[in-house]
Amino acid sequence: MTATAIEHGPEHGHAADDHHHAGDSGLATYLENTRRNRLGMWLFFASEAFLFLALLVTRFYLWRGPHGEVVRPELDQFAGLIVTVVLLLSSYFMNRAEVSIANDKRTDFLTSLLITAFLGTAFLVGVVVWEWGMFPGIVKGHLKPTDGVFGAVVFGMTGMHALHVLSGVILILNVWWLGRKGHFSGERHWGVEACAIYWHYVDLVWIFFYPAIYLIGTTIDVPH
Amino acid sequence: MSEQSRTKRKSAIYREGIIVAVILAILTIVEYYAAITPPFDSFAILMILALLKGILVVNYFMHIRSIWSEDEH
Repeated sequence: MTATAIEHGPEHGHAADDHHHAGDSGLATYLENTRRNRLGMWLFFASEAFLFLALLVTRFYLWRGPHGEVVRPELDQFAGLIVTVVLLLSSYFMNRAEVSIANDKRTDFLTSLLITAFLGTAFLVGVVVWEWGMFPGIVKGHLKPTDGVFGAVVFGMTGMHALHVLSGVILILNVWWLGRKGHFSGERHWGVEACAIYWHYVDLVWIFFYPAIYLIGTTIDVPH
Repeated sequence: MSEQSRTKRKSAIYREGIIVAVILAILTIVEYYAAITPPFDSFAILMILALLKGILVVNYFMHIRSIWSEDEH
């Protein structure tokens, strides 16, 4: 079975019925391909980890006080905590979506996906409005990208992460759209699983970025 | 597998997701208060808390074990 067939053929719930006579051998091939896809996905995560680790190392290398102590700029702690909780909650709903399709509960699956996309968007809005201060009429941000190493690192880390959140939201809406049209089933839902583990990976990155940006180190005033 | 045990297994999987989400939320709040309460605001304590959260996500939400398992799909 080709990769195209996996994406467009058997994952479609109705197509799975049509191919019923292909029987166990078709499913076995699908499972074997899914195992390979999974490994590929994890290798992709490993390559992405280098990028995010580089940003984390940059933060701890550059954010140092006059005596070499770890410091951090003054940021909105409440906004940081809220966006973190929102992202963790979105991971729960993504997991629920995956479990639901595995149990053939399509309505639950579609609803959970929409909630995840909504929470992901809320996270983005939180970062863009509160932390970046892109709409000074609503909230004035604490830092600008031009505020030395502090501005550069905060915008570099949150920007790279926000880009991944945005692509995750687009992916979730794509899976939702396909799910609405009857794609995926309890037996064949690699597309959903891939989207889910990508979303959890984005959450995983934030789990380390949140303390690095908001919590670790002594607060210092950044000259503007 | 009987219908009854299948239903029980489904409920257990849903419950597992809720339990993990609650633990993650608790660890996040602990992390926040540790950061504003010396001497718990150390790099090591905050990174250990982040690591615990990371392990939960990788293990329960990302199903890392499924890379080498035969039956999950």
